[in-house]
Amino acid sequence: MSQSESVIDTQDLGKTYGEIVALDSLNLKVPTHSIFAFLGPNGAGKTTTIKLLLGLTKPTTGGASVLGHNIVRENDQLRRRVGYLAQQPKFYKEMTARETMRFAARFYFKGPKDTIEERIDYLLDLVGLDEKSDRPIQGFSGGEVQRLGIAQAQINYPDLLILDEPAAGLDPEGREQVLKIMESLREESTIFYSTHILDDVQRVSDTVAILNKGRLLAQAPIEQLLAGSEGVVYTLALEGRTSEAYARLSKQPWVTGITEKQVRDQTHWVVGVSDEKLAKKHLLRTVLADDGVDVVDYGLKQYELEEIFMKVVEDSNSVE
Amino acid sequence: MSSSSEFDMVTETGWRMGLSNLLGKELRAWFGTSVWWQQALLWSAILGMFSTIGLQEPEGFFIFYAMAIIFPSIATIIVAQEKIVEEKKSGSAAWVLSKPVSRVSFILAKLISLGIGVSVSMILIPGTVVYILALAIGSAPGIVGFYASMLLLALWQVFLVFLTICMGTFFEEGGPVMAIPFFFVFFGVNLGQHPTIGPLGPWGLYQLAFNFISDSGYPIYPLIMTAVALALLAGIAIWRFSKHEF
Repeated sequence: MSQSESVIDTQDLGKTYGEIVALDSLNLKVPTHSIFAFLGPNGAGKTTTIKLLLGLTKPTTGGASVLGHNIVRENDQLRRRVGYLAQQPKFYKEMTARETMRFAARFYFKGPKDTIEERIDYLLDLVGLDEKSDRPIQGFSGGEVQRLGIAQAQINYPDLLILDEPAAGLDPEGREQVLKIMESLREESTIFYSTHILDDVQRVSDTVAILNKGRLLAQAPIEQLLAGSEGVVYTLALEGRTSEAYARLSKQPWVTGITEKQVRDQTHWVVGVSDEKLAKKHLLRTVLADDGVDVVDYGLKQYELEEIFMKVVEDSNSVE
Repeated sequence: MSSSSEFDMVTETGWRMGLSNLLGKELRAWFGTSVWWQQALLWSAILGMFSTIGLQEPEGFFIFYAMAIIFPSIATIIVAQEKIVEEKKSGSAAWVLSKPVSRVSFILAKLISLGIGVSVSMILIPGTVVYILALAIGSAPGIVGFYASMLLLALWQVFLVFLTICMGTFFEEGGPVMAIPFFFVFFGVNLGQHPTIGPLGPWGLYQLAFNFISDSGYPIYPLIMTAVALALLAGIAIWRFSKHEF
């Protein structure tokens, strides 16, 4: 597989359970060496997609390739090159963390024993479990099980790491640790992870796909997604008489629209512009042309992923 | 830090993929923990205690065989259903199958390891204890015949393991999984004594086992029928599990 090819490439991938459509014609492309966030509310079809990619369930329609291997016909080869962390990882509770790592390692490596142990030590250290490596898993916290899950998923130097909700259910400290681990693994593997925690996505991901009710709604690099689809937009918070400033600004040919909202004793404007250069030079001057209005806040609107996500999901819900 | 090129890679492919690792793990889960000796101790105590009631009599061993065919079987069914149903429900089976593991290996590892485990801990060790008791009392049968009969009792447990695991590939809850194996346990003893139906299935194994020390002339058909049943149950379990969607 060349570097330019997608690590995951699905073609109209679909899954139905009876009459319930869990996944509807998914066309997804995950670039090599990306941290790809697969975003969606609960029940969106994220876990179903992951299970399809791993061969744990079979597609009803369409197909997909992972690392160039067909997910149905070449699933054995595929699983040798992939690491997987389940949403709520369940390991054998009688085993210690180290025994779990050895068990996972033996699916890939026969030896040398010292080199396998070295790899296990390295990964347990990476996820901060080196001091608990010989304790039975049944005494582990949720965060520790999750970190062990990431370590075992990485044992085989996977080209692709698939993590299903890796930070779900963790306290802030646990989430922080998991995100740091993911960032540290960026050089070794492409990371495809599902989540509904938007803050995490904005922090570590470079590409995002949004899924809702089994349908892919958006897929783009995160910068592109955060730029929004409404062009350049400025926000202003004003005090005083704003009606004259509003009339003046509305007449400018580079202003595409003004949305006004009253927040206590302030007036908030969201101003869409068609020419960013002209807006940068004249917008604030036009507003401040008379003494009756004061500008208490001014800036280019920065979209948060949550806004984008909510808009995309709500738009898709309102269409149905 | 090591790199992947420094390792000797596992070369198992096809249906054998992951088998040696899974088999090792399952055997360690039984023989590498306290499970094997706790089960052995429990059944040695129970079967030994019941058997001493009749060991002085010529037919006294019949009590041991009747007990050994019923009581350890209940434990076998419970342990076997946990092995398959719990792993399907908890997600540990899905985790294992995300590795380079064939579904055939997953099932075979459970059948083989559990078959060996229950045979050793629930039949062969308690059987040895009972034999030593019989030696002490002076009523021990021939050792070859006795251990041959123990192997047949163990085969009954293996049959229950295969049957329960097979049911576990069809159902998601313990109740339905255990229903049919329990039916075999509680009605099997009676079926085995039936002159026509008795020799035609695994339920005749304990009569055949008793034949080895009492020379009652019971036909060898149950052994053949059990071998056929084991092959069928393993085949059905593998077929069904290969279609299971996680």
